[in-house]
Amino acid sequence: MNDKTKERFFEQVYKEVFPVVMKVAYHITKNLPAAEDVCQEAFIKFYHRPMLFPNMEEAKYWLIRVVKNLGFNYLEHEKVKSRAFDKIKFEPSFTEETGEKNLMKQETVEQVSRALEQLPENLRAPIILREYGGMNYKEISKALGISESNVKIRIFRGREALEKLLPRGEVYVP
Amino acid sequence: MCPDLEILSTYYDDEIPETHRKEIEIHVSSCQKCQKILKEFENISGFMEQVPEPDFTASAGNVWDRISDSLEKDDVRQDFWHRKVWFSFPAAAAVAAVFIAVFSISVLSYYIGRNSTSAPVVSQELNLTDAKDYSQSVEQLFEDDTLDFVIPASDSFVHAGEPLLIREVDFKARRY
Repeated sequence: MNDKTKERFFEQVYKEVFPVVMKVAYHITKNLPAAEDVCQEAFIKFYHRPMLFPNMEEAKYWLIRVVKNLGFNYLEHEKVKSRAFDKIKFEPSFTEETGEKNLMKQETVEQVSRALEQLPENLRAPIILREYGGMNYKEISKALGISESNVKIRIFRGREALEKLLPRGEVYVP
Repeated sequence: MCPDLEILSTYYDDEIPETHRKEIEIHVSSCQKCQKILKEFENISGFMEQVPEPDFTASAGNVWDRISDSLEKDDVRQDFWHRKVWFSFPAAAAVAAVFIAVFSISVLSYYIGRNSTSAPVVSQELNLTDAKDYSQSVEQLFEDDTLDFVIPASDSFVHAGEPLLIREVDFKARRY
């Protein structure tokens, strides 16, 4: 494969995979610039990888796995940093809206963020890929390198944990 | 009997095989407990959906620009420091063959040179050109009661032939 074909494949992968990879990165880091950094690093790693991918799907799974790892690394760093600066909580950088309804929405968002934060990484990653990435069990198992039955169990355990952390029986604001 | 919660979670994700799905569907439609559990899963998804997502189209452009900048920089560095030198395989093989040939010739010629330059042990009186004749000559020599030993005119003293000669002389000398 020469440089031209390599570049063309890279561009193709970027166009196709970036949206889902960015989504995953964003919901892990909960920070837009950080998610962009994570994606940039992942794609540069992908570019420099000597082994080629047989198809788009394999490239996608590889990128999602790298983004997931980089995202959680970022969170780990942030945790250490916020501890160092004696910052209690990392504020998600959501676009601020006004109005009572939006205030409620803001509260819900924070509840979800806090609940997800309490999930261990091995439960949080499959839940994020399922709920935000819209991936099925097979895709998640390939991206995370675990078996499908393991994905099934982890998603269920994640839901179980979230159910306890999120307000019960409360109907979400549509 | 109600299905396992894990199975309900799988059912919620639409990951139950076709054959069992119908079964569960029929059960769920008549079981309030299971309906409630599925409602809870829906509730979780609903909560998670509430987390807004910024528009990622701008990010796609930004990140692409940053990636190409970074890769270009790498390329420049590579041009300067790590210029790739490409050999086709036959060229590399030819270079290797020439190297091996030159190396082996130089090594061989060194040994051949050593063999030919060191003078064979020859004494004018004894004519010791070869070891068999030489042992006889030593016997004769002792019979005559005279020993005239000529040190070979060689620059390399310990040579393949010489220890044999010395040993032979030593042995014969001790016998008498």
